[in-house]
Amino acid sequence: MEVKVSTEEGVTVITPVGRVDTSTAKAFEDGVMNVLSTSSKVAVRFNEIDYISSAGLRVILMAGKKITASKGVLVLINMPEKIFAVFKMSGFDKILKICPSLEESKSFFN
Amino acid sequence: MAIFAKILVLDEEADTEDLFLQKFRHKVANGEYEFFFSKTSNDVLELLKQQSFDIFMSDINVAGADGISFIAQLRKEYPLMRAVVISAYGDINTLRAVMRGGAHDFVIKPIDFKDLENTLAKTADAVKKIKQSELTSKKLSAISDELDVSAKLQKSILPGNVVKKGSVEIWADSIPAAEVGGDFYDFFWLSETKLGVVMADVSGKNVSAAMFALIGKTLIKSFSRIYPSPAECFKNVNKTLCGENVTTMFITAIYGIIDTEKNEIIYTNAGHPPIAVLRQGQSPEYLECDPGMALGIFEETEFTDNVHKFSPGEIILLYTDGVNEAADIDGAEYDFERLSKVLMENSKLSPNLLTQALIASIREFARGAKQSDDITTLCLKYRMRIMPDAN
Repeated sequence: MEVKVSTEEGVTVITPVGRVDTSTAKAFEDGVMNVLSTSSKVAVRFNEIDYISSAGLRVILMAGKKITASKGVLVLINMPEKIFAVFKMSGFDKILKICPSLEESKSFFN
Repeated sequence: MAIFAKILVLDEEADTEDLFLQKFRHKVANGEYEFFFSKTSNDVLELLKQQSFDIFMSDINVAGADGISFIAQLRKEYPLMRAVVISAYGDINTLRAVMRGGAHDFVIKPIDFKDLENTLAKTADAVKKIKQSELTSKKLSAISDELDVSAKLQKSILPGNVVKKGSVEIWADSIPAAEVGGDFYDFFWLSETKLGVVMADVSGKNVSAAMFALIGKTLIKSFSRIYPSPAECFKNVNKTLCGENVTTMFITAIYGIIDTEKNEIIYTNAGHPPIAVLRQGQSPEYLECDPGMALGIFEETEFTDNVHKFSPGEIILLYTDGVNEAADIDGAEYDFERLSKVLMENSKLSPNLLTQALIASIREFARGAKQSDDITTLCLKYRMRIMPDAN
């Protein structure tokens, strides 16, 4: 598991690569929390992960809570159908902002 | 960086002490070295009983009649201490024997203090590294202890494997991953004819997940006595968990009540993979319902009750995502397709044997890949009885 971070149009984009499971969730959490300490406009891009387990969902949830508390915005983008199914199954699609692309998530950041 | 080393010197010559303290006065003043001096090997043993040293220095001829075995004995009894021996020039055989016996280094008489300084510095550094690795290994062993505790804790909250009563035959099992996740299952009779079953997965690992699992399990079982509707039960479990939850852990779970009079299961789902229903020789049906959100996230989550009517001989399988998301060595997932296939092929088996067949199939698929999540299953065979159960 690797966590790539880039800045695109004023938004910090976190891209996890590989599998986010019980054994790699800590590395993912560290990467995400690191970004959250300096950025309040954050997107997580999901098209480079093969798998996310409930431990990974928890990281996203923590990030969402933390950033909302500090009046920032977290958007989940480029989510393949298979990963979206995991978010939907746990009901998270109801409380998280999920967008097809960074382009289409613009309204959330303004 | 200065290294603090406690050095014990054994020498019978009275001026050794003065000589060392003179030569190493800067290091002593800086707090890098602290010297202790003994004149006999018995004194050395006495001192070592009272305190620990990093380096033991001795003239090979002074360490009693058998200096070599004395050094070896110290090495064995004080494995973190290292010995530096002082030997006369040319006594190469003794030197070899003492090095083989466990001395760390040596200096040759007459002592070149520059050489002695280097030797002590190198030895002190070696001792420091040994101590660090000792510390690391202690930490590792503490971590492995924690893993052990969580595995035991997780096992201890499970109610056993089997229920056999009237219409119902259950086999449940949980195979924890190396880093124990927080899966659990439960079953409990609410009345003579109503059996509660729970399948759950906590989003975390090790002790914290096991603790959260224990809280979740206790809440579900307690609230099941107060709220006859699974949805109402989960609504209240969720509220309580949200109130307590500072760790952002959550639980995905299914809670169902099997009613042996009405031949049905009434169930609710909090973000958990759907129940599989299996009829002999058919591909399983997954009971899709609008799942409520996982427990412990959002206080106002609503849940729904759903009803499934049993047909005779039907099997239902509750499981965690450790089953359908088990990965092989290339990262491919076991998936619902394989799950459906193995369930269909083994639909005539008892819950126990069916579970074994499923686990074997996952193992075969994984081809030795490390199990990254707990694999937990609860398999229930429903034998419809026309007459009310006699026991």
